[in-house]
Amino acid sequence: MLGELKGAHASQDQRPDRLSDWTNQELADLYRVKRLLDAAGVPNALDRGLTDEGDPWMVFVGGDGEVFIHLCRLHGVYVLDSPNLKSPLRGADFNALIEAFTQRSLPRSETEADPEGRIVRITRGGKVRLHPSALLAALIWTLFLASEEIVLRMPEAEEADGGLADLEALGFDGAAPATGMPMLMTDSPISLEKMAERDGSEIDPRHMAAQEAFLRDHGNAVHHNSYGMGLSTIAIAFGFMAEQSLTDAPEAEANGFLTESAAEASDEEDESRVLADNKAKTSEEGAEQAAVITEMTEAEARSLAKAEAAAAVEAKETLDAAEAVAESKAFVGNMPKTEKAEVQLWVDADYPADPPQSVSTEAPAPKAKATAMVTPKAEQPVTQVTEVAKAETSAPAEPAFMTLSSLRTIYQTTEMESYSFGDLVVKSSFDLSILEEGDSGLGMLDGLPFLDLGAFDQDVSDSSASIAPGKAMTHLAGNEREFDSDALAFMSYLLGKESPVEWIVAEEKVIILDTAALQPGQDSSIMTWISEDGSLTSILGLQSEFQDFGLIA
Amino acid sequence: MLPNQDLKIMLAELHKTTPEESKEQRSALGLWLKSLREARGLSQRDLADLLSLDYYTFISQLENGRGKIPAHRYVEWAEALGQEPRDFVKTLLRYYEPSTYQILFEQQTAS
Repeated sequence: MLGELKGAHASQDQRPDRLSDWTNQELADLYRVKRLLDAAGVPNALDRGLTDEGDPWMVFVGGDGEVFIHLCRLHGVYVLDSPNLKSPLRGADFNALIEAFTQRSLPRSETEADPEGRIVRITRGGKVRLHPSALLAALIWTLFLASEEIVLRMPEAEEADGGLADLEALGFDGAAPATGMPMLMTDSPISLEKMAERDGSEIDPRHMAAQEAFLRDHGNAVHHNSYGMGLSTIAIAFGFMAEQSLTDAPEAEANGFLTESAAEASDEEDESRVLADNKAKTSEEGAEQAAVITEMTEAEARSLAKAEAAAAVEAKETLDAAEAVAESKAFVGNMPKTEKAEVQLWVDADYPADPPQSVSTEAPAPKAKATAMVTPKAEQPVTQVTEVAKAETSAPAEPAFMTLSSLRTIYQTTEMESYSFGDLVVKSSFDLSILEEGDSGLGMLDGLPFLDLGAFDQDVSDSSASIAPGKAMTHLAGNEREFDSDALAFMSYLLGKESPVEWIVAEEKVIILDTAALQPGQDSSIMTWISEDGSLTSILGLQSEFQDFGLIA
Repeated sequence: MLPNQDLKIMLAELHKTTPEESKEQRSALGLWLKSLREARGLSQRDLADLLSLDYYTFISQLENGRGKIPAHRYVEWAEALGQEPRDFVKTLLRYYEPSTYQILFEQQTAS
């Protein structure tokens, strides 16, 4: 319909102006946020557009079709607003937005908020840095939990029972495990009065009550989703989610809750990728997923040394923070608890430490030096700071999707069927037999060189289990491109679209199909990228969207 | 009190808006709002200034069919766009709450 916003087909006001629109890096970060929210079970869709003056905006739309986050960039300043905020947050970058919200959310005094000294805070300028996307996702997760949708389902009362009814409203259909931890049920009502006294934050205490009641009643279901756990952990550690929602439960203390969740998750071989070092199934996955982040410039190293030499209270807090995060780390693995665990977080590589300060008229350099990443081997998840510092001088990090294994983090959550072609196993999210049928939009897939199954057979028979990149390349049409930031941005956009994508995976090759491009009458294009490890990624998508991203003329 | 049978018929005939339909209706409303603004010769920023909005991108968002005008500001919006408030709100209701609009204004007419 005219005026309907469709992803990259931005506002009806004008087509996306690449000079003032979201940059590729911003888009990648925001779509990363969406994926984290998707993984946490938050039903959301993204829409974006440009104003009549060319300023970009983006909205997160909930499952009910209502906007729960509005984000825009005006004269280089980000503005984030939500129905649960008294006033919009503003900041020069995503970190500043987080800082603005954190400042509003912090209690009047640390003692007041945490008389027992159990709240752990990850302070800025410390050893730990988080990807802006992860922080932004945690913020949006917090705002989402405090959304009016939940409040409206609360019983009318000054005190709210722990009894939020409709878990389905948040789209957690089937997310709660059949067996698992006992619900953190309690009959004690949540006193709005006490909350108002305790919390001087921007958020209406009724919203906080709704949030706490929801988490109390459904905390297990929510947080057993490892991404939700990770986002909550970040939010609590950074001070913009109430820690009490986890610690007041009579059956569990916060750490115990996390540990128990860890045991449950590890038993079920959960594959959390947001926080914590995973029990990697392969060393390659572990290398991709487990990373230690530090940004130890000289100045920070000096200030860190000062901080560490400071009062015993500071040192204790650092240890507490490390312990708390170590619990998160143990959440999905059998990692032993360590007293001084470095935070290990999944973070995409090759991004600037902060989003661009000003609008760039050119796409960011694909090899821009970013926060250096160290990818320890899976068997050595804990890395000392000194080792990290040394590793910073190593080869520049690679974009998250540059290797097939990192793409696996996405499609592994997709249900796929296996098909055998001789010794070759191909996995697909749809019935591959329709490729043999007559008239089908998928017929154009025959043009993809590595869908020539005969070629597969030849490769496999001539080599060992893995197809050598050199051999694979002999079958390519020569139109493949090197995987770069433009490809990353397009792929991120595609995976965030409302129209579903289908997958075909075989050895070192992945094909992503945008089902919107398979509709009759649609102009489609296929593009293939090759990564440095020789893996191939092809996308079949709408020609117009390839053009929007500047990938084709 | 309506007889149970009549109530059942009424409920069965109520049109439950699907998310897709809701999106289409919002898009249509967005176009309408844009036409009203342009008819007044206002830019998106001008309208935002008239309404004392924190960020004018909200206008673009609404005109693209996302979000809603806050109910407590219906009258201000009507005045900013040069519309009679009652008619303006009736149109908003038609798009925001089609089932309610149907009950209030269409079924009554039919009966």
